[in-house]
Amino acid sequence: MDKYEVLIVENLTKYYTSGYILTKKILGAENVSFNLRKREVFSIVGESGSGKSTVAKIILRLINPTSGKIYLDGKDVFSFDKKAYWRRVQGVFQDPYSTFNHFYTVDKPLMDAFSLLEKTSSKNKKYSKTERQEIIRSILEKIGMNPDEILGRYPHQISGGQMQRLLIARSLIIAPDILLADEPTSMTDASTRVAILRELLRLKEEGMAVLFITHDVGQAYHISDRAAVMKDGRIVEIGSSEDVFFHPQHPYTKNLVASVPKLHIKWNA
Amino acid sequence: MMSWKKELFLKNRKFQVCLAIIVLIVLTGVIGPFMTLDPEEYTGDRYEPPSSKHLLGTETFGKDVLAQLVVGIRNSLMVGAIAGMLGLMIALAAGGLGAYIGGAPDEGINTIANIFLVLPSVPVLIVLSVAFKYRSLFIIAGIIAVLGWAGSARSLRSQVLSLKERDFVNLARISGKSNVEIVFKEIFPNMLSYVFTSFCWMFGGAITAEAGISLLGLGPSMAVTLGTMLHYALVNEAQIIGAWWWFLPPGLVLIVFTGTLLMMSSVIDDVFNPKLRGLV
Amino acid sequence: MSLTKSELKMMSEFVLKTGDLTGYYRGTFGVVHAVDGVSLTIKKGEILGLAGESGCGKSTFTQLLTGTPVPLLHYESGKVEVEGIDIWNTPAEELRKEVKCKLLSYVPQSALNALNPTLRLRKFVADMLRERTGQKCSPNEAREFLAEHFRALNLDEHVLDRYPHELSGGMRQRAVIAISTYAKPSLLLTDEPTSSLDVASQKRLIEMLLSLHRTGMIKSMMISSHDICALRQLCDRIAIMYAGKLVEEGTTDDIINNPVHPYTTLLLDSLLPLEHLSKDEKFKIIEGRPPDLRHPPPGCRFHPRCPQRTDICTFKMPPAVEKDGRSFSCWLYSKGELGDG
Repeated sequence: MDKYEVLIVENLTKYYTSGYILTKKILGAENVSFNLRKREVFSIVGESGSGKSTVAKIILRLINPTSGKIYLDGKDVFSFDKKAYWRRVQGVFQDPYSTFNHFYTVDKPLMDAFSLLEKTSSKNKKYSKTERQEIIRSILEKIGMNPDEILGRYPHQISGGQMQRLLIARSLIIAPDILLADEPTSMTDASTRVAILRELLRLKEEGMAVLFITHDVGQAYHISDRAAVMKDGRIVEIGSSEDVFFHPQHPYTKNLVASVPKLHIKWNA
Repeated sequence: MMSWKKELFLKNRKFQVCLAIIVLIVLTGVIGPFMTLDPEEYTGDRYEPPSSKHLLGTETFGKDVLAQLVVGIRNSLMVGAIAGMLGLMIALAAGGLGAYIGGAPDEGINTIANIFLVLPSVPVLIVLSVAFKYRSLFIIAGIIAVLGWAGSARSLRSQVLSLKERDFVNLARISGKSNVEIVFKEIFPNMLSYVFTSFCWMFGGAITAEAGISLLGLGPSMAVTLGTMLHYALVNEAQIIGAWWWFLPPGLVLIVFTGTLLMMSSVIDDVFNPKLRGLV
Repeated sequence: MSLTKSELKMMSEFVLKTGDLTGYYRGTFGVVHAVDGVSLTIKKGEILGLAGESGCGKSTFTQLLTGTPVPLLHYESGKVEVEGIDIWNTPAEELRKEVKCKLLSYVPQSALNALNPTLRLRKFVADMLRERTGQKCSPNEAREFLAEHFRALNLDEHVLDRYPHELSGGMRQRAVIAISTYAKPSLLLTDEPTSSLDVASQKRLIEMLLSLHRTGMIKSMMISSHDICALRQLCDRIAIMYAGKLVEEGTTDDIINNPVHPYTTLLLDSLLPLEHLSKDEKFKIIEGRPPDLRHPPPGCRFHPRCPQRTDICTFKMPPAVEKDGRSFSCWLYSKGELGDG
């Protein structure tokens, strides 16, 4: 396994404030630190309110942290131009129905991906319409989707699973080093879930660092190499998946893995 | 999403009826003036009741009421449309962009909108109207727009605020789209029905506002509008004389047009908001 | 019509019996064949799990059992008998007074969000009791009445003094189930009781349901859920639904360890529980998508996606076959033999 640490997160802290005169502070995340390596899937597991979505949004630079640092290839991320950053770090969100703008066909996010490439191209490369179509088609075929069944349709005409896979295809157009998947399977049925997870694993094999955010402990264990467990904004356990889920140290993790219902093992009633 | 056109225009009875009424009134205003007598000419005796020559009779100076009515419709609609569009543009810019940018600009614009909302519109309208010595239709439209944008701005703002949090906006952001691109290409298209409804309300409100200040004699200095007709009818005590053909028609047109416009906007709302139809 | 002794005994053995229950959604979107001919039984004292992915019809089926489905859902045909009472042939008033809460209690999926946010729980209970019994009931009386029941379920009775928003999701769900079972109904129906809860709350809820059963307060239950691991901990028997049809039913052990129907096998294979699985045991895909129930496929509804389909599957619906205490609908085993059909 490549030990190269492509993303280093150091003491990330986020307080949400509301009000100007009597400000109220709500803790989003506190002192979160972890590293992402190439060719690895890293899971962040937590219940709702644990802070995992906050961390995801900060890493995707959708919100700014209160304090803390993130380094990409050793460089301070907050000194990066955002567009250049998004060339290297991309995301897939939880709800495919919300991620596609129902006003446009499903082609739009794919086409928009090219505009990001053009804006950040050092050689001023432009993609013509035919070039874009070709690339989109070949990527769709590569992930096992039939372009003719998908392109040109509106979001309500295709399934949630197909939408999620299209979002992965969009990421492939940009070809980032890091893919952040925020609960990508929580709104899909069983068979789509497996397809998405397999796709993420394939991306890992091709060298990407995948940050997998989920509340499903079983999925996190099966798909990731290393994992972190979050509670109330802090990381309480971090290590290899085998260690974290089968030899937990922290009482919260111990309780968590004991409370997850198993398939082949029955709790003592 | 494109099926809403079919649903609206072809299937919805209420919508078709409302649209027909509105188109009828608009056509009257547009074509009417070419087909009637000259509204400024003294073509008959004073207070002639409706006859074959003057379908709606004459008013106090002997001018044809029908001729005045169609010109009045045209002018009232013009003022309403201009004020409506102007007000909508201000509301979109202030409410929409402000909400998207967030932070201090948003708070500032919101505070200004709230101040405008709280202003007592009728006294301010009166004061502003008096301030202008010569009031053209455009000036009247402008005054109404400036006083009326705040309500729509607030509802458009809340729309934008909620759409801003959606994942497709986040996706556009991580695709490197600029704020302007996101507001116009991602957020506004999802607000079309609200924008149209807002326009209907502003249009209807503007016509009523114009009628209001014209009734008080502070309307356009030279032009004939539905409001000025009512004003003159009132001033000349037409209701005591019994010349109902002078004040009833403009009043009715005002009520029918504004009411139909608002009903149409609620029908459109029903189509775009399935939840309102009871199909959760 | 006189019944034989064995028929009478059979009748008393089951708390729930459905025969070819069919219900469709009818609206401007067309007709959705959500539940098509489902025959299921629950013995007294049993906990049955109704499993399947979203859209398979389990929520719809549960609603059809209550006799008062949501708007747009139409009961089409079939029998539903709860403790011998024919639900769909009983007038609504009698259903409300005799069946609801006393015999049958239904906790829908979003129950924890359906509590009136402006009422303390005890006021909500008072209103409910007044409606059910026709007698006036003050919030304090209601509280006393339920306090014992709460205590028996290891729930803090002070929960009744709170507003819904003061309670966590898990607490609300448990409170709703406790309130729905105050009359100790013979059959409790819950739809996705654990789906919006966090892991620790899920466990507490499962334990509460088991405790309701163990202490005999609720003799029988039907839990519908897509979380098969949760059902495994709770249920004696599991029934699997797909596209509005019942495909397989049997004891929990049989279903989990020896599934018969290809869909059940694939569904179980697609699960990723927190257990050690070998590499080839995980990440198995089920090809295709569930059918549009406005135009369900002819024959077996799973055939377009079934890796073992044969010709007959494509045009003829397999009958339900019973063998060894379990039942399944699949042409591979139509003769009741497990092998090449």
